[in-house]
Amino acid sequence: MCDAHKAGPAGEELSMKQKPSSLRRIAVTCVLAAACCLPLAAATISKLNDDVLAPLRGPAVARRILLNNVPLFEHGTAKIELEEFQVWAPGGKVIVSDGKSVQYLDPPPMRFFRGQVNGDPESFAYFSVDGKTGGIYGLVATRDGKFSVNAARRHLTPRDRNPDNVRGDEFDYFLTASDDTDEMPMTGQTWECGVERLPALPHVNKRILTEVDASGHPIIAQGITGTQSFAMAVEVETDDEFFANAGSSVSTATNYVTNLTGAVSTIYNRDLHTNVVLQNAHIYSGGPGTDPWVGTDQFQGLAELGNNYHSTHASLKRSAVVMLSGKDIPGGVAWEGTIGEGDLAGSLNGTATFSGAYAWCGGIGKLFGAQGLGSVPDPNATSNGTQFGMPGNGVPGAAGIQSYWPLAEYAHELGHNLAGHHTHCVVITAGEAAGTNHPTQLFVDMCFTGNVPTGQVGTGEVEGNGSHCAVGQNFTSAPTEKGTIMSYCHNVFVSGVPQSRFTFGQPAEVSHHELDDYMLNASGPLAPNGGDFNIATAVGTFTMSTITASSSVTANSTGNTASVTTTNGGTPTFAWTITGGTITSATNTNSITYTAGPSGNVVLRATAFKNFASFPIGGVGITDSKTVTIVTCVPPGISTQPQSVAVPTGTGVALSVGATGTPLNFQWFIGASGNTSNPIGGATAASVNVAPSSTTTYWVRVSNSCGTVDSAAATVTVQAIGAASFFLLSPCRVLDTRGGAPVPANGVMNLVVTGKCGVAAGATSAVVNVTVVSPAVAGLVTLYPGPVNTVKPVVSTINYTAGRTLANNARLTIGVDGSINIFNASGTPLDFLIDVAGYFK
Amino acid sequence: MKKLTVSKLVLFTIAGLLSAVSASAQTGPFQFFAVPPCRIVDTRNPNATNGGPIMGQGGQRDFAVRGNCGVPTSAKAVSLNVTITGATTTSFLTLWPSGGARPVVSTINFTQNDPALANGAIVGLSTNANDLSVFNSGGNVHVILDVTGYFQ
Repeated sequence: MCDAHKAGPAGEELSMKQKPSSLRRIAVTCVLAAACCLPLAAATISKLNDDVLAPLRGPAVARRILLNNVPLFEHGTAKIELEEFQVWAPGGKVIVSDGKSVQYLDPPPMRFFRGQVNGDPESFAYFSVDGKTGGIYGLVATRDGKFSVNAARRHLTPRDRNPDNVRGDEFDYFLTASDDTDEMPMTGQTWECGVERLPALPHVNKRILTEVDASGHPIIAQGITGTQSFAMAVEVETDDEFFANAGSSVSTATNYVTNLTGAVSTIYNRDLHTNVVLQNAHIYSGGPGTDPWVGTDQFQGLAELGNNYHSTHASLKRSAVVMLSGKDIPGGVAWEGTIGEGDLAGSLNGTATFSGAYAWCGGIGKLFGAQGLGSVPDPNATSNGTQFGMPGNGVPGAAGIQSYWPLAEYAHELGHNLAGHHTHCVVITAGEAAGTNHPTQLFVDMCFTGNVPTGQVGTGEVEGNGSHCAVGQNFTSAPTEKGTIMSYCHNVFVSGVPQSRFTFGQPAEVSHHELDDYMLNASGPLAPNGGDFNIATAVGTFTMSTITASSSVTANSTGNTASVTTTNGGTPTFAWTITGGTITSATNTNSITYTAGPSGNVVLRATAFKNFASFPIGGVGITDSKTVTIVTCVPPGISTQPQSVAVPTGTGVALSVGATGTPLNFQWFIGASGNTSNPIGGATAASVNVAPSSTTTYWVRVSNSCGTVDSAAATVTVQAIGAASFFLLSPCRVLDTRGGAPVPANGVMNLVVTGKCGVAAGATSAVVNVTVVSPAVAGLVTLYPGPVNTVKPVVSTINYTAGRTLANNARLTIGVDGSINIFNASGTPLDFLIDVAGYFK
Repeated sequence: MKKLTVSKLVLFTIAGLLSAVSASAQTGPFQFFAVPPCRIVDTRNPNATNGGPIMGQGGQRDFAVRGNCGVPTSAKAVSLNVTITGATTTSFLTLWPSGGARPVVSTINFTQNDPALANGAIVGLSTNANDLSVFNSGGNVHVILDVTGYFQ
């Protein structure tokens, strides 16, 4: 049932002769499509509790919003951190022409948020909120999958006939888990399209910046975190065909333009540090023939767009004009390297026109006869298993080509205005290719084999032989690396999946090479005419210092301060958040006061937003954020001092200290208290085992970031065991636990034996018979000298089996304090007898 | 053939007489010195003078007591606890000063049904480097000796 068909006119090789010293280049994008089978995608849907999304419907003052406990099905609940970003420039209008009159409408009162899920830098969340209805639309992409939030009407009332009367709280919200199974194999593609012939351009300065917070997560904010941001003010044109594709609804058309521009801005912001700001959107609502656009292909369209704006909007400040045409034309075209320049007179396909920052995109809402505006894809989402991958397949329709084409085309053609070339026409050096997956690659991507046009034959090329740009590569096989937004890889399908992505290239990839062409020196002047790489207007620099605060604070302490400073700050807007404590001052200034929590860490995050009013067509801002982690502590104190002890030669003993405070660090030393010259390696716990060969003094220092305290010294006195003679006693039971406390399971009983049954003080050993009585389980007993903190040696005195009363004869070495220890190495308490027959002294 | 058998019997008898003479030569009185309990032999450990291997049927091992666990070279006898484990059959151990013939005594008797079993003993030490002999009558068995004091 699969049915491939070739689409779109073959592009032509075009070049523009302008003023003698100026050469303008034009770039063409074509699309290939095939009708194919589309299996139904399985989806899991659940209703969301109203509380989950409630923060998004709050007052329109919070720039940062936290959604807690978003239930992502079997993947647990998510914490979604969101920051607001602007799509419309201040003062921007929706200009609606119906052929008779013109209305200037305010942009839709939509708010846009983007952020991360559970702090994962590879996750992404996007939410838009309709300021009028409160209706919410959301996309959430995590490592576990993609989820969307959609509304369904809760109440059906007469008011629903007027969408303006619907409130957001009249919706139920549903979370849907999507999958990427909508893939079908496609074979037998043929395709041709022209592309301009371009020299490799010199690379200009900066690599993309990556800034991370204290946790190592990339910082997400409106504008660019860092020191430099750019902004482009875009004038969006449409036509009456687009209006028809939008269901002849001004709000549908406007919302789509807004969302599409927001998605483009997301790509440019992420990859190029550039905000794309929508300045005005032009909607033509009067029906067929009521717009000024009569061209029947993209070249005529671009020519008339330039002529129109040059003659009627010469004084309108703008970075670029983008046409989103609803004509069923599967291609787009744009002038290259024209941002920041004035118009230049020239001709295009024989039509006199003015070149400039104009981009023309066809097939928005209608392609190959399939009509309708699909939803705008999430440009950050992992789609079809590829980061920033384009969704859908090669099938015309909302789930297929239209699911990626409008965003891909808008971002692509605007990229040409920014001097971006097709990445299959940008050569890379052997050095740049080294260490990548493409050691022999000559170009950034290999998704195109165009015929060399007449008159454009270069060195090593033959006219018409398919050697243009990507020599010898076959576009019908998967590229080794999925293409960039500036590639033609959206025309290459593998199992129906377009082999392109919504990115200009990421730093780890060969395609990052192309970014170099964009990263322009923001401090340089904008060339008035014919200049090479003029990117959008640089809006300035802005940075915030790291947070100045004490690295540790006392638990529950009040009046702790933290502050930041800004450079080129003017009057930035500040916001602070805290975990592990409470902010007790206002949070909209550069310094705060806070109360520490009872334990753990205090984490402070400061965000500063600078609005640059100097931007020609309205405000654009840069946000900078910093995070600091502060240790909360309780000063240390000593509750129990280490105790002096006397032990026989060859005996180990455990010294311990009782301490209060949090956290607690210990270090034991040999010597007098306070003498730190002899630390004991590895002795960093509350107790330490020592086995001195001669009498030795020890002490311990207890510390944390709030303070330090030293223990008193404890002396371990080592006594040699002298010669002893045997003294006979009448047999006498010195221990019988039956009816009393048995020897605890896996525990020690300390027993003083001197002074009992006639055992004299100073006895070094007792001659005994030991008996285990009806033990519940098998085990063994170890008898060793006291005191109780003597380190137990690895020996055994009697081994026994379950249920068997058993005796053994032994000589028990007695501690200096006259006691012995009885260790029961079994899991149950043990009844134990000791009968003494004599002793040595 | 017959003469050779007689010759062997004679030699065996002479060895037994020598052993009896050696044991009766050890006298006292001695004084007792306690030590903190200390494991001096464990045949479950890697092969060594006081380690493995396991004792086999009819096998004899000579262990070094003096110089270890605080027992000086001047010690004449040792107070210890003999523990067996992993016995494969009913058997007994004999402990005696090394260098002499094995006396006809038993220090601990056990069966394969005993997971582990112990008995206390006082045994003389020879002046050999490996001063304490242990003999196992039958099967295989691990031997563990824990010292609690010595006489000199």
